[in-house]
Parts: sequence; structure tokens; C-alpha cells
Amino acid sequence: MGSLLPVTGSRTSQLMVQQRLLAQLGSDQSDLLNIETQISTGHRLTLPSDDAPAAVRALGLQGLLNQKSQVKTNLSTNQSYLSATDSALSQVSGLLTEMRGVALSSIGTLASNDQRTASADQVQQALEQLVNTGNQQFRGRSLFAGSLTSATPFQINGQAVQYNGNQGSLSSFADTNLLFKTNADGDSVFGAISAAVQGSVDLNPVLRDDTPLADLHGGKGIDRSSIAISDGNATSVVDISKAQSIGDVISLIQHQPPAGRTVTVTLTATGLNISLDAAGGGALSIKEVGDGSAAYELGILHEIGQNVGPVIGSDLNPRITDTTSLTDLLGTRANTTIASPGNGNDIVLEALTNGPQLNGINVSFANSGAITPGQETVTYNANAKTIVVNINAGQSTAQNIVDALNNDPQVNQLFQAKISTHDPGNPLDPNSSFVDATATGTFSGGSGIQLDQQSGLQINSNGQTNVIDISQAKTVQDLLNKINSSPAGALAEINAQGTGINVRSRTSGVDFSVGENGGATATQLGVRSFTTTTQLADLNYGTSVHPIGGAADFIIQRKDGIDLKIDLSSAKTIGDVINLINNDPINQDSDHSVTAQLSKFGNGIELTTTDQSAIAPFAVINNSASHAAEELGLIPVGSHTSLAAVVSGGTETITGRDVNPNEVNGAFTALIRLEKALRNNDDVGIQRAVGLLDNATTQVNLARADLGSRQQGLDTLQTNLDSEVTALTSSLSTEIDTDMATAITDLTGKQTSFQAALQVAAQTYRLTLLNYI
Amino acid sequence: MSLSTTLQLASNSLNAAQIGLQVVGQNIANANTPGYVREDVNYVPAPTQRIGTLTMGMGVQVNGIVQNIDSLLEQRLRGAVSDQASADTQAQAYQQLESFTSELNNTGLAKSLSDFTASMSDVLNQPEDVSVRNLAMLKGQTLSSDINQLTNRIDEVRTGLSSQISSAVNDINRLSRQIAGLNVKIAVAEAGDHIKNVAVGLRDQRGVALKDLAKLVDINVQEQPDGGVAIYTGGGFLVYADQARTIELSQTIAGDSLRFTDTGSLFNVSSGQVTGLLNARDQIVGGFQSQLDDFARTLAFEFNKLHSSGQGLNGYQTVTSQSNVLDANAPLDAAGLSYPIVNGSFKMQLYNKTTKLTQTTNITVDLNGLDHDTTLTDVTAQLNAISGVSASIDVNGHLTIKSTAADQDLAFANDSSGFLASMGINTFFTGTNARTLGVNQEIVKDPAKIAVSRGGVGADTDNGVDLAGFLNRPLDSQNNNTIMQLHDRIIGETTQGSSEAQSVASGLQVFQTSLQSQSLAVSGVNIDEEAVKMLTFQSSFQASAKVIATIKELMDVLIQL
Repeated sequence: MGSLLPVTGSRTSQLMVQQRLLAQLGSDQSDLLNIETQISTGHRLTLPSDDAPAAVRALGLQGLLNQKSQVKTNLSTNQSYLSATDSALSQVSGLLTEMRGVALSSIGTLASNDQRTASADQVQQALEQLVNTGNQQFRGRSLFAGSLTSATPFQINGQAVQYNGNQGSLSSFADTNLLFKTNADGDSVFGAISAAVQGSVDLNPVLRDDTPLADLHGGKGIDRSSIAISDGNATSVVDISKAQSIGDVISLIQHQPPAGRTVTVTLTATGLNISLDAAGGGALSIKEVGDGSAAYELGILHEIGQNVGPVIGSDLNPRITDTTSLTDLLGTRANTTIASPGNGNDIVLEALTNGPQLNGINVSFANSGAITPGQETVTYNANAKTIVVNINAGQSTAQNIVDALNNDPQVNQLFQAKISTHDPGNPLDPNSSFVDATATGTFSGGSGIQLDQQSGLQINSNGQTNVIDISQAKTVQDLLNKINSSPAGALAEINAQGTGINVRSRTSGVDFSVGENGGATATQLGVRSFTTTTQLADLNYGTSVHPIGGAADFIIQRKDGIDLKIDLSSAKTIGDVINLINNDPINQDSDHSVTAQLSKFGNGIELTTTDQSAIAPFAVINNSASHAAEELGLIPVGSHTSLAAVVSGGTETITGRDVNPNEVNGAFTALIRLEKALRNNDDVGIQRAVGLLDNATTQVNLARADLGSRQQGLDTLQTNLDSEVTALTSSLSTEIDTDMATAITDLTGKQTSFQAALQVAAQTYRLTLLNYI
Repeated sequence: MSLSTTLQLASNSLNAAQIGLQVVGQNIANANTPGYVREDVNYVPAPTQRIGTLTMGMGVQVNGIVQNIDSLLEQRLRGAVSDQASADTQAQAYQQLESFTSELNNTGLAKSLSDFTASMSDVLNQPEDVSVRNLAMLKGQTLSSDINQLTNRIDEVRTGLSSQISSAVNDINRLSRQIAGLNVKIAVAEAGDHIKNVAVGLRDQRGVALKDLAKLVDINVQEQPDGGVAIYTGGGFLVYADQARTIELSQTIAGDSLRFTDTGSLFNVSSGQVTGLLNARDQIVGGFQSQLDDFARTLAFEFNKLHSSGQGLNGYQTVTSQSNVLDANAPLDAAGLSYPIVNGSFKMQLYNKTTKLTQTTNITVDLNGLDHDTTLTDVTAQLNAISGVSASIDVNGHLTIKSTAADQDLAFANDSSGFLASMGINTFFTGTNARTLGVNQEIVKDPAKIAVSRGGVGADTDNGVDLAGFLNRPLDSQNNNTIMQLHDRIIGETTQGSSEAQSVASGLQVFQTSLQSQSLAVSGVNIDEEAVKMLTFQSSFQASAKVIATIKELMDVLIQL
């Protein structure tokens, strides 16, 4: 660039004039070249440093523009998917409405059998058409398979349609940080997965050493800041930011006690218990540090200390994850820690099964100097609830004791012993791992039950009973996999709250239920579809049970000839029905009584008696005015009495039907049900199918409305994007592009001044005294 | 007093005028010679003669021919030359860097970065299409090779600068030898003279040499009584009288440095081309390179952290870690891995291709520093405990994980420890700096392994959302800066540095030119001035000749008597 050179005052010389002239010409020419480059390239800047601030701004703008151009691609690609989805669906609601017409015209006596058969054929074609629509592909993607885009979502399976997709959504960026959903899954459009067989039971997984902090509080996790632990004199600040699991927190606290003290943290099934060593006295307090909330969220906030503890932590409620062990559900195992002073010698004993059986059993040491380390013996007294380990004080190590306990044939059936991983010094500290002969421990904390893994559960689908054997399953995921891989077409998953599991059906058009397989597995897991709390109003696809009121709905004919007259008008749930039977004043004589209960296998109400009288056959008989016993499943539909009781080893059993089948609520179910009802001349069924069709039509229409609004949203985004790109491009242009008018004016100006400079220089340079002498 | 005395006087005067004319001629002849210092004839009245009571002048005497030079100004000029040479060199280095990054054309690193994440967006748009994933893999390769190429070009610049430094060192040694030689000659030429600056031609040569040397290093020149110069620079005398010390480029582990050959002490210069070159090589280009290395490292590690917790359309039958530990029995955070591993865990999934079911196992990486910290051997044991998985560590410390059943594939998830990213398992990028950055061969062989899913093999696109949004993702390890901000910072700093270096250089250029003008004002030849002098000498000659003619006439008169 041209720069001004000061003219020095005193004297000029030939070389100076020459150099100045050259510098001046050089600078003018470089200015000209610069402008010429600007004009020919259209860029004001050749290198970013020509105008650093503008260049840096321009780089930012270019980056944004690059991203926007990808957003544009995203929008147009996904517009195409959405409109393909929309056009695929455009026929569906018409088809469903047409089928509704077919159904309505077939209700009543006016329709002949032939007409109904023809209608049924029509419905079947519609079903096939709908399956084809559901399986529609666009640009290699199955439009309705959720996020499993390469799966074929709907598969006709005999008289059922199975959904192989999922409810996953696909999304894409509509702006730098704005995601939009780019698909409509088969379930949300057609209804392809049933409502959950409610996992109403909180499986309440036990807190384990390796439970991740992120899984606590139902998956919300905790604040990983610091906590301050004080004995009233000294305070220790424990930073848990690096802790990953609850075990890390325990180790961190135990390794950083207030100066000179020992802090013991024990892990209970639900939380942490913290205490100071009793010998030192003091008042244990646990506080937050700064704005943190770690102590509160760990459930151990204890601002005002009074004694050495223990501070009993509150429930940390870990969520269920894929890797949660099945043995950690539904209950806790009794445990105790035998803590000796020193490092690496605390022994943890944990029961093998959930439940309170071991609670209160005391474990202590008896010092007998004669024992060689490694030869320790164990004495178990079940009545006195004591376990005594005979040791050689000062010689027997913690590992010796652990081995002795784990090798004792009696106690190793009850619990497992190991060395605490939190006692500082673990793995074994050779200098202090001898146990203290006076240390003791008492089992506590055992509660709940052990999951019945032996029985398994039954899933009834499409008339098939599938027994799910979970005896080999170790983790929740194993259990879910067992259910998901069964031919029942079921979908099992952990519920959103992380408290239990849900089992749902992926098979449209058929009944679906989850029942017991002789044990209590389904009930314990909270997935049984027919329980004592099942509402009568929900039975038979929500058509309910209809007591006549004021009179017996059915009679249970006992073998001793006495009839139990059951009036259901007060019953709301299955449990109420069972209680009505079991608590009937007439039915209290144990020799002849009839017991009602939920079926041991599958679902339904089961009536049993061990009465050996033979005055009358054991049966359930309708009160002619009431169909309640049919509706409860005790009597076959259309029949007057129950099927003959099954006799087995002195017990007679009447097994009722499962009258609370679940089904997928959607278009495929509606069509399959309609077709079946038409072929069976089942008016009630046709009417129900019409209701299902209405629901399905509404759902499809809602899905289309959703698609439409999303497409509209994309259109708006596209318009916004275009104007944004224009604005960005113009800003970028302002930063780096040549302003032609200015540049050309500059060029002309420079040219003129250069010409003038050349002329003047030539003249001046030529002037010399020598010309005149 | 005699006529012949007068004749002698006139002849002296003629001589003086002739010498004057010769110097004028010399000045005119060198009017355009760079480095030439204009000369003046130093006239003094000739010694007087005392004849009787009269003291009479004996005309003029030429005392010597001297240079018109302001040595203080020359010293300042040399300083300015040093500064400018240094600034120019640095500005040039910056400009080279700028031209490499070529960001303004929208073809630089920013473009490859956004192209790469854009291709991830495309995967998000069409997760089922393997060819789109293939494209994403290729874009990843383009990005890596762009960064590789950039660092190679920078290397070339560094090599070039290094060779310039060594040739500058040779120049310094040559010039100091030359100056020392000239010192001797000048001392000899001026020996016994009571005025200075008489060894004109030699001094001109030395002046040029000094200016050349000043261009290379900043020098402090002190003229000695004998006419020689002592040059003090870089913490010692470079030239003293006829002694010239040599300097050399000595290689050490920390890098190379300039030292005096004889004593080995540091040749510590603060200006001049050599300083400019050293700065350009070590600070400007070297700094850019280390920033680029950090950038590549951050890019690879942060992207891999996301990628390694995801699953592709296919799982792995066998996977071998890209990185290796030095000690399989050392805690993982001290096992010699280049990327950090922290206390945490990851999930090992076994995906059954037939039943499409997944079996998950938690692998803990306990690095809380309190109890037994996890080693690679421990991880291997945990993996081997999973039925269907076999893991082993080879002699070099690479971890290999195999599925023992053909219908079961391996996949990985939820890595909170950074184990997978550090070991290079299920990663996208490989390498730890700009030179070694590349795309994992597993991905190159099977782009379907690009880990877009988070819910299992081929299950969803949740991880893809994070991968596609990577450019704008705040990174914990970088104080919540995004990778784009890191990139912009590198480019911004270079641009800003370049712009500053250029303005410093052009400021120094003006300063130097103005000093040069001042110097030329003192030492440069002005033709008109010389013409005036020439006329003066001419008329002086003519007048003296006239005196001789008059004397001759007077003599003739006397002879004819």
C-alpha cells in the first residue's frame, strides 16, 4: 500500500531522488494492481489479513451458510418422506370408512349369510391393502417401521398381523439446534401395539455397590458436587465429582474422614448409613458445600449432629436397567458387616436370597489360641440365631474367616462372605488384616421376597399358550429377551419411570394376555393381565359383566348338594367376586366348602373343592335371567352350566375362561375382528368392530393431521431459511466482496494520479544544471 | 620570494583543482552506486614561507579525500534495517499460513468440517442407506487428509525456514570475516593519517557489508581509533579488529539454537532476519502447527467419545483396539494411552442377528484412585466372563474382542469412562495429531458401522443426532467451546497475527526509508552540487593557469633583458 515518506530537510541527493521516485511508483503501481485484482476477482480481500476483522466475520458467515445449505438438504429430503407418508395414508381413512359402511350394512337380520361372506371377503381384501400400505417403502425406507427403517413393519400371520417395527422416531436438523421428527411410526398411525399390561408393581431394585449414580432417583441422577462431613471439630470435604457408582461414593467418604476419625458407610438396600467411630465421640453432621445439593440427593443431609450416628440415608430409588439383576428385585437380602479396626479386614456377609429369614442372626468370633490359621471352624445355632467362628486372635486373617464361612456346608447355604471393598487397604493389607476377636455383626435388612424364577409365565396370544421359562435369566434384559423372543409376538420393555416392566402385544387382531404358569412370576413382576384388582367393567373388551341385581346371578352347586347363590351386584373387581364366593356364610364349612381363586395356570377364576360327598355334581349354574357367570368366564358362552369339573387327587376343579383379553387397538384389529365377526355371523362382534373402526379412523386422521402440520411447519422453515440465507449471503458479500462502484472510481482516481506523478517525475528528474553549462 | 616560487604555488593550485575535479568525477560516476558515500577533498592552505619580515602563503594543499558520513545516523539506519528484516520475514510467514488455510475461498478446513458433519446429517436423513454412510466415511477421510495435507505443507514451510536460517548463519560468518579483513586494510591505509575516513573505497565496501550484516542480525558497531570497527551482537563481540568469531546452528533435544562456535555461548539476537526466521519457524508456523495438532486431537477424541457409545447397522465379529497400552497391568489412566480415561463404565452388547435380541453387560472402569484401579487385564477378565465373548491382549498391548458365535455381533454403548475412545474401539477417527489423523479402518471397510444408533444395533438414530450436531456441541474438555469455535480461533489468531505483522512491517518500512533518506541526504551525491563544484574547480584551474601564463610572460621579459 502507498505510504507517505517524509522529505528530509537538509539536502537531496541523486540516489535519494531515485529511491523516492522508485518507492512512489512502486506503491502507486501496487495500489493499482490491488484495485485491479479486486475488480477482476470480485473479492475485496485476497488474504484474510487484508482486513482481519471483516475476514473473521466472513468466516463465521461462511460457516453458517454451509450449515444452512445442509439444513436445506435436510428439509427437502425429509419433505419428500413426509409427503410420501401423507400420500400413502390418503387412501387409508377412505378405506376404513368404506369398511364401516360394509359392516353397518351387515348388521341385523336383513343381511344374508352370503352377503356377509361377500362382505368378509371385501374386508379381507381391505386388510391386505392396508398391510401393503403399512409396508410401503420410499427411497429404501419402510415408512411406517419407526426407527427400524429396514424392517418390513407389518406381516400377516395367519389370522393376525404382527408389527415388526417400533415406536422410535427419526429426526433431522431443521436449523443449527432445532430437531424435527421425520417419520410417523406404524403404531401411532395404525395402532399396532397394545396398551401395556400395566407393570403396576414397583419392582424396587436394590441399591448395589456398582449402581451408577446416574440411575438413582428413577434415573434423574444426583448432583456430583461435594459434601462436608464433620464430627463437630474437624470437617472433611469429600468431592464426589469423579464418582461413578454408589460404591465410589462410599469409598470416597471412608477414605476422607474428618481428621483423626473413622467414618463407616454401609450400603443398605435403599440408601447409605453413615456413622463415626464410637470411641471418638462427637456429633456427626453432613452438610452441603456451597450451592451443591449432593448430600441431600444422596439422602444423607444431616445438618445438626447430635451423636456419632448412624445417619440413616433416605431411599435413593435406583431405576431398573437392562443390567439390573433379577435377584435384586422385589426384596432385599439380609446383610451385615463385621468391622475390625485396621485396614483390609472388614468382612461383609450377604444372604443368598431376598427376605427376612436371616435378620437377627448374630455373628461373632471366639478366640481359641490353639487354632492354626486356615483351620477356623464355624458353629451355627439356628435356634439361638448365632454363628460363632472359632479363631486364633492375632493370627487369623480376614481371608481365613471368609474362607471358613464360605466353606462351611451349613452357612454357605445361607449367605456369602467377602472382604469389604471399601475398607481402606483392600486388597488385603498384610499388616493389619487380622480380625479383632471382639468384632461382631448382626444380620439385618432382609425383606421382601425372591422372584419366582422357576415357574415362569404364560403368554396367550392368538389362541396359543406360550410358556416363558425365565429360570436361566440373570438380568432384567434376559427376562425381556425371553418374552420378546417368544412366538407370542409380545413386546416387553422397562417402563418409562424405570420402576417396573410392561408387556404389550405386537400382534393385531387377536387376544393377548399374560398369566401365571403355576407360580407367582407374572403377579410378582406386575404383568399379569387378570388379577384380583381387575375391574369387572373392563372385562370382555370393556363390555363388562351385567348382574341382574337383587337376585342371584349364578349358583355354585356344591357336592354336598348345597347351592351357593352369588349375587354380583356389589362386586366391582375380580377380587370382590372371589371374596363373595369364599366369604359366603354358607360356604364356611371346611369339609364341603368351595374355594375361589385366580387360576394357577393362565388366567381366569378357578373354583376348587376337596369335598368327598357325592350328592350333587360340582357345577356352576346360570340364573336364567343373568349372563354374569358367562361373562365371568365360569360358564361357556351360550351354555347354562359350567363344564364338568376336573378331578385330580381328591380335588375337583372348575376352571374359568380368561375374560380379560387385551388386544391391539387399531385399524388391523378392527378389520380382522370385523372379518371374523362377519364370517361367524356375530352381530355383537360386528358392532364392536364398527366401534374399533371408528377409533382407527380417528387415529389415522389424527396422524394425517399431525403429518400435515409438520409439513406446513417445514414449509415455513424453508421460507424462513431462504430469507435467512439471503440475509447471510448479503452480509457475507458486504464483508468480502468488491464494491464495484467504489473500486472503479478508485481505479480511475489512482490512474489519473499515477499518470500525473509519472509526468512530474520525468520532468523533475530530467532537470539538471548540466543542461545549462 | 621569486617567480618560480609563485610558479610552484600556481602549480599546487592546479594540482588541487585537478584533484578536486577528479573527486567530482568520482562522485558523479558513483552518483547511482548504492552504498557509495560522497567524497570531499579536504583542502588546507599550504605551509607559509617567511622571507624577511613577510610571511607568505604557499598556495593550497590537498590534505586528503574524506567521506561525508554521519556515523550515528548509519547506526540508527542499521538498527532499522534489522527490525524491518525481522518484521518482513514474520509477515511473510503469516501470509504463507494464510494462503494455506484458504478459508476465504470457502475451500479450507471449515468447509471440510461442515461437509463432514453435513454428511452425518445425511445419514440421519437416510439411516437405512449404506451408500450415504459410505459418503460420510469418505467425507471423514477428506477431512482427515485435508488436515494431514495442511500439516505437511506447514512442515515444508518449516523446513524452508530452517534452511534459510542456516544459510543466514553462513552469510553472517562470511560478512563478519569480510569486515574483519577490511578492518585490517583500513587500518593499514589510514595508518599515520591524522584525519579519518581517508580509506574511502574500503570504507564504502565495509559500509555495504555492515548494512548486509545488519539486515541479518541487529548489530552494535563501534569504530576504533585505528579505523577498524568492533561489532557487538548477540551477547558478545562478533568482530574485533581482525578477529571474526563464527556462529553455528547447534542441535539440542529442545530444538536448534544459534551459538558462538568458540565458547558455545548462546548467540542471542533480538532483531534482524535471523530473529524473524526463528520466530516465524518456532512461534508462528510452529505455534500454528501445535494448535492444529491440538485441534485434530480434540476433534478425534470428542467425536470418538460420541461415536464409541453408539451402534451401527452392523456389529463387530472381531474388533481390535487401534491404540495400545504400554503396561496391561497398570491402572488404565497410567497405562500409556494418549487420551484420558476416567472413572466410569461402558456397556458391552451382544447382538443376535437372528433373533435381533441384545444382551448387555456392564463393564466397570474403576479409576477412583482409592481401591484397586482397573487395568486392561481387568477389563479383559470382565469381558471374558461374558459367555459368547472372548477378549485378549496381544504382546503390543492391543485389546482384541471376539464374538465366539457367528450369529452374534459385538456392539458397545454408554461409555462414561472414555475407555473405548481412548483404546480406539468402535471409533470413527484414528490418530492423535494432525499428521496421524485418519478414519478407522473398521469404518472404511464397512461404513454401515458408523454408529448412528444408541438403542442397539440398527435400532434408532439418536446417536446420529449428536454426531450431526457435533460442530455446535459444547465440549466439556474445551471450556464449553465448540469444535467450530476452536477452528475459528486458530484461523482468527493467524489472521489477526498476520494483519498485525504486516502493519508492523510497513511501519518499520516507512521508518527505515525515512532514515535512509536522511542518510542519503548526508552521504548521497547531488549532480548539481557536483556540477557547481566542477565549475568552481574549473575556474580555479583556469585562474591558476592564468597565473602561470603571467609568470611565464614575466619570465620571458626577464629573459629577454
